[in-house]
Order: sequence, then C-alpha cells, then structure tokens
Amino acid sequence: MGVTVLQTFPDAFRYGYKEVEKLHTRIAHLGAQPNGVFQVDCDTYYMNQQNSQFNDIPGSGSTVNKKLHILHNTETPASTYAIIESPGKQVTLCADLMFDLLLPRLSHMYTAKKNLKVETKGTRFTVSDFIVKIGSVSMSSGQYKGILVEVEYLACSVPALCWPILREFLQSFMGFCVSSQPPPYLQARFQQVQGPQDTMQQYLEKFNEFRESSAYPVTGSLSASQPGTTSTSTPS
Amino acid sequence: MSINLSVQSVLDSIESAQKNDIVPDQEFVLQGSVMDLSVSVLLSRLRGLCDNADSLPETFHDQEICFILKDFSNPGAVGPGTGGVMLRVRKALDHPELPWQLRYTGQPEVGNRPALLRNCLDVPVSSNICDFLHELGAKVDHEYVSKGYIMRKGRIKVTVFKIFKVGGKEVQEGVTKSHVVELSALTTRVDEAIATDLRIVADQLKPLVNLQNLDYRRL
Repeated sequence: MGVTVLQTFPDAFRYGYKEVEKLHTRIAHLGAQPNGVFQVDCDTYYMNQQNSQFNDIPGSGSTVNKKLHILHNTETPASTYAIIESPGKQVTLCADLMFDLLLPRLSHMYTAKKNLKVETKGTRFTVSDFIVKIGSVSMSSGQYKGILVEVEYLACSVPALCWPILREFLQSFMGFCVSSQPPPYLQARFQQVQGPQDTMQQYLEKFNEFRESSAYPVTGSLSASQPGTTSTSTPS
Repeated sequence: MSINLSVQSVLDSIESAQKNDIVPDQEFVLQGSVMDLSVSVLLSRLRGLCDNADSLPETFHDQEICFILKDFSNPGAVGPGTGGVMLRVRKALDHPELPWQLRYTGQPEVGNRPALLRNCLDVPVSSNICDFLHELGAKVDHEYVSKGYIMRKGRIKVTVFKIFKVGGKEVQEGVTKSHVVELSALTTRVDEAIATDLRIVADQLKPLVNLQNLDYRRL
C-alpha cells in the first residue's frame, strides 16, 4: 500500500465524459496502460431521530445526529469500511464484507438515506509505480457530480517522503488545479504510514464535498460512451 | 452524466450471495457443562470422535466483550427493537496478530428442532472496533475470558472451555468450577440437515456430558 492522493478535476461546464476522455488522452501520453475498471461507493445512515437526544451536547441544548458511512472499494473487494462521524471525531472501521449484512439489524438505531448514496467509477491505469483512477462521481439517482482522480504511489507509504514526486506527477496531467501544498488530510498525517482506510477517509471527505455542492444545475445527461470510443456528448 | 462502465460493485457480490442462500448466517448449537475434574476424560473421548485424532486438541484463549446497542435515553420504551441488539467482540489473547471478531447472535428460532437454531453473523474487523461501537452508541454489558480447546468433526465445531473473570490478577479466577461444552455448526438458511449430525455427536458423548437444546431466554 502506497500513498494515495485524491484530487477533484474541475469541470465547471459539466462536460463530464469529454473531460474524462481528455484526462485519458493526457495520461496515455505518459505511458499509462488501462488496467480494468474501479468503483468506490458510499452509503450514509443517520441515527434515528428519537435516538438523537441521546447525543445531546451538554449545556448547548442542541442535538447531534451521528452519521454512519458505509464504503466499498473494488480495490479491496472483500472489505467494508464503516466510518462513524460525530462532531470532532471520526472512527474508521475496517471490516469483512459480512458487515453489510449486520446493518439491517441496526435499523432500530440507524436508517439509510438512499438518495444520499454516491459513487465514483471509471478506468484504472498503471504508469510504472503509479496507479491512476479517473472516476466520474454520481449520485444514486444518476445525477452527475464531477470528476475525481485518485493517484497512488506504490513505492512509498509515508506522505512526507513522496509528496514532491506525487505533486509533480499530478500536475503533469492535471495542470495547476493541483495545489503545491498537500491536501489537508495528508498534511495532518504527513509522517504517518498510510493504509487503505486513509484512502477511504479521503474518499468520504470528497464525497461529502460533492454532496454539498449544489452550485451546478442538476440537469443534463451524458451519453453512455465506452472508453476508447469517441464521445458524442455535447455540453449541457 | 453517468458513464456506463460494467463494474461489478462490491455490494453486488454480497447481495447475490444472500439471494442464492449461500451466506452461512444460521447456527445450530447444543450446550452443556462438565465439572473441571472430568474434563480430561471428556477430552479423550472427543479426541477419539473428532477429526485429527492423532494430534493434540488446538487451544484458544479469547477475551469477549459484549456490547448492547439500544436507545439508552428511553429505558421505559416498549416495542420492537427496544431491547437492543447484543454485539460480541472477541479477540484472541494468544494470537494478538489475528483480526478481532464481531459477532451478532439473534434470538433462538421457535420450532421443534434437534438443536437450537439462531441467526448469527461473524465479521472479522479491525482492532478499533470497541472505539467504533462506543461512538455508534453501544455500551459494554459484560466481558469475560474463555480458555479451552477447540476440535472439529466435519462441519461441527466442538469447544470445551472455562470462563474466567476479567482482571489484572496473575491467577485467573474461574466463574464456576466447571467447563462449558458446546457443539455448533454454521449453516445457510436452507440447509438444516446438520442439526441431526449435531444430535448424533451429542448422543455419543453421553453419559460424560448431557448436551441440550438450551433456551437461554428462560435463564
């Protein structure tokens, strides 16, 4: 397991697949070989209303609704990641896929919000020591949200030791939308060894950003093009 | 603006497994107890009955912490789900490198069967499970240490173990002067044939130990 960085690729005009194709072309110039497909999905459960008083913040009179996020990654197909999110604290549990079957038994405490399901899927590339995954993020309703690029540098597990090479690689095909500063998540763990759960926590951060972003209109759809074929979509 | 890529999602695999009834989420159990003094006799009998009779029985030394997940803010509530769900966390004290296990066991199923049938789920998890369950809203109900032997006979798991109190003392204090004997087998929703096999093994252990279909709700 190397160091993983997630980067949102700006798509202000919501070209969708056209932008993804652009990235595919650029990365092909770096010698990238397509190597299958990937998918990361995230489902969110909320603590039931009648139980939320249990989480009263002492003295504030307000209640906190805890969120339980369930994530899956095709890179680790036998695992489920459960992230419990409460103010100021996040606990990430790495569990066997059977954890999913346990969730219906917790329905007296946590209920899924189906319309909040979000996923990213796309093509996975390998470029020497890097794995690049260019994904298109969409809600369960099919609503397109943006482009998310994951880059993993396999040769190193500590961000502090490989950020410069990661930054250079990211900028080489995404340009200057990549900040020269490491993302806050990595900055907070700059000297620590990274694991698969760090990747999932970064995905959750990005998914939350995408869910909250309502700056773009929700209309528009992209024709279903397969990788390698010419996109016929038009900007929405 | 979604792209149609044929990615088999991770979720699909578990859903199809459940649909095809291949998830081992049912457990048949028979339980009994034997005085500490008679354990060696029972073990000799079991070694003769179980697989790998030529090797010594495998030992285990586990700690189990039982959590209850329910709405603690409303203790007087009645209705479905208000009793909470018991989640058991188990770690191997003798093999700290192994993943921790999270176990859910449901209520015993009603019906006249040769062995007790209950819903169960075993999920290997990372070691921060206790922290996770606390955040989820669960509270510790009780904990204990179990130490004993495990053997197999085909699909049947045979355990003989003693329950100890959890504490920092050098000499562990047993809860009783006896060992628990348990026969269990994991199965799927549709396969109930194993219950009879369980009963046959139990009958072969008589009169050393009398294994019963214990309805622990009455305890």
